[in-house]
Amino acid sequence: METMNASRLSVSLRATRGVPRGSIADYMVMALLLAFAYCTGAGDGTEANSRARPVSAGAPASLLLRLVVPQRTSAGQPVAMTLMLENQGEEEVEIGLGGQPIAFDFIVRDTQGREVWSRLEGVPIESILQLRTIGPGEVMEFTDVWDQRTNSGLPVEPGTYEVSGVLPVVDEPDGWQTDTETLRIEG
Amino acid sequence: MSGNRRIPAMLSVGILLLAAGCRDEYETPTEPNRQRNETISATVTREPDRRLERPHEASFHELARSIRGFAGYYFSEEGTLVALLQDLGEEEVARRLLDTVLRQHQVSDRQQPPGRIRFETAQFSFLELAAWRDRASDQVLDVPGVQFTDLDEVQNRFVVGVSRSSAREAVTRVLAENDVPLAAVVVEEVGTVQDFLTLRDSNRPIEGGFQVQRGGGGICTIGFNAYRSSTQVLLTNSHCTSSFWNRDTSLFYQNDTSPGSNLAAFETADPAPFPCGFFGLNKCRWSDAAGLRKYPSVPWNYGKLARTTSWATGAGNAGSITVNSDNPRMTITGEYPFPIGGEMFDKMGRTTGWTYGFVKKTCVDVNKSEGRRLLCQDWIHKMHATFGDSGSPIFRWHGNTVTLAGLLWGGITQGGTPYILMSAMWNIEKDLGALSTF
Repeated sequence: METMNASRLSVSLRATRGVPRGSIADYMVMALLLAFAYCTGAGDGTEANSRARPVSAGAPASLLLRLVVPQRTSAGQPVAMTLMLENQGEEEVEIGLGGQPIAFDFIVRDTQGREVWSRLEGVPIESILQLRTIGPGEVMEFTDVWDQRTNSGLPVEPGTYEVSGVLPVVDEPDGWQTDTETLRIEG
Repeated sequence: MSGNRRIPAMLSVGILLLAAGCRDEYETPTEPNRQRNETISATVTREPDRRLERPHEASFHELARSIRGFAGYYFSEEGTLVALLQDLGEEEVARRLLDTVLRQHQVSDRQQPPGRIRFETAQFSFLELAAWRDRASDQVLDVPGVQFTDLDEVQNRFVVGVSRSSAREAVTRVLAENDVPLAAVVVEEVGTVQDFLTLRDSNRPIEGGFQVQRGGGGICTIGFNAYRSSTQVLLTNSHCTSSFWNRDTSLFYQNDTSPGSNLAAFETADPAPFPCGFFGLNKCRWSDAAGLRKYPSVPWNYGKLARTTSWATGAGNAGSITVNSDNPRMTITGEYPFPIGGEMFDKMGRTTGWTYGFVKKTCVDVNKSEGRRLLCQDWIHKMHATFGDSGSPIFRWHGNTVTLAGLLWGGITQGGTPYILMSAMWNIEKDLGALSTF
């Protein structure tokens, strides 16, 4: 007999139709994220916004996925992480996500490439298929907070870590993945 | 001619050669050393629609540049390369070029090793047939009753397949309008093209293993049909309904919510959880299962699960979702109350089809969000499943019969190893009451 624990999560859909990149609205969104991180004590450094990259060779080219994490934070502080899926095209795109609520992952690795924490490690994910339409200019955001503990529940040591985001999608075994971002935890 | 006067001429030749070299590989195919038919040249020199380029024919275009009257080639069942030429005088050139093709061709062990080329006379060149096909195919395919068009190198004709003879007249008219010589066309009568039925398609009578979708909601799989008291119900997961562990009468469609007569059932059995855990602060149930009451007008195959054409095992390996047309279903002949570690079980899901694996952990209590707890669930490894497979039947396979074991509801990864999560039959009936499934 065993007992498993699930973790908390937050998903939202943000529409930025017609808003050019780098506009005031974008800065406002970044400011909101920073405010969120401040309120939760999640990171005291600047945000690292990974390069937006096409989600997959087989997916519509207009979909871009990126990860937002702080560049540095203090030991023991919760770390806010956000996965952003953006449709930069002019057509709406239907995507096959899954889980109830929608599943998404953040993976933290040490400098040796060893997995330290995965948001979905040991978390049951329902196998329901959730078709979602993402319109032109819309951004889907998936946010959670890492408590700086390993998969085993132990606090991590100060140091440098690599963070990546994964959005599991149907018919893509490895899901859609972001570039990695460096997170420095200061003692 | 002085040297100075030769420079512009040389430059002109150089520019022409460069321009020729810059042309895309088969943008404007033309016959080498041949008086071209005006009708054909007018077509083949037009700007092609790049979206319709067929890489499958690239080598034919290539060979047609070097072999006058080249009409294609194919391999006979014995492995002989059969080449078609309008002019057998080109045989020597063709043999030299086709030797390379032959050497690169891999044959099955059941065939003779490559080595032979046989030449046959053709009435039409490949470029002629391709030009006619490209010009007329779209309009021909628009004719009611036309099933396919084909540049058939074996017959050396542009072939049009029709499912009824009445389409012939319209096809002939369209071909004439496009200046396609009827001598180059063969009209074949064929049966209607049948799409293979898959687990994602609409299927009546309803059986376990096919796709189901909640109105305005997610896509799942029907586990099995059952009688609950005297009510006909389809079993799937509670999380596929609009309210988890709560009777909500949400509507369900098989296969999807597109307009038509797909409405199949509504939720009728999804009991509330009971207090459990520390001071009763948690909410527990034994299964992630819900009963959907089938509308009387919707036919079902009681006690049947769909059977697809092939299975797979191992993480990441999907099985077939195409229903086996020769043997399309399996009969439920019994129930397993709950699995034992190490047992092999199969599943049939709309996304990853027929897969099987082995029970790894039994009777695991699993926490879900908001204090919910699923009691005594079973983990299976080496069985691939993903989004859309929720509600899939888990069963022991005996050939044409199965023993029902439960419903798949999710997945979990531990230490990099993926597992499937299932609620066993005992658990399902503990929650929903007695079910008759066969």
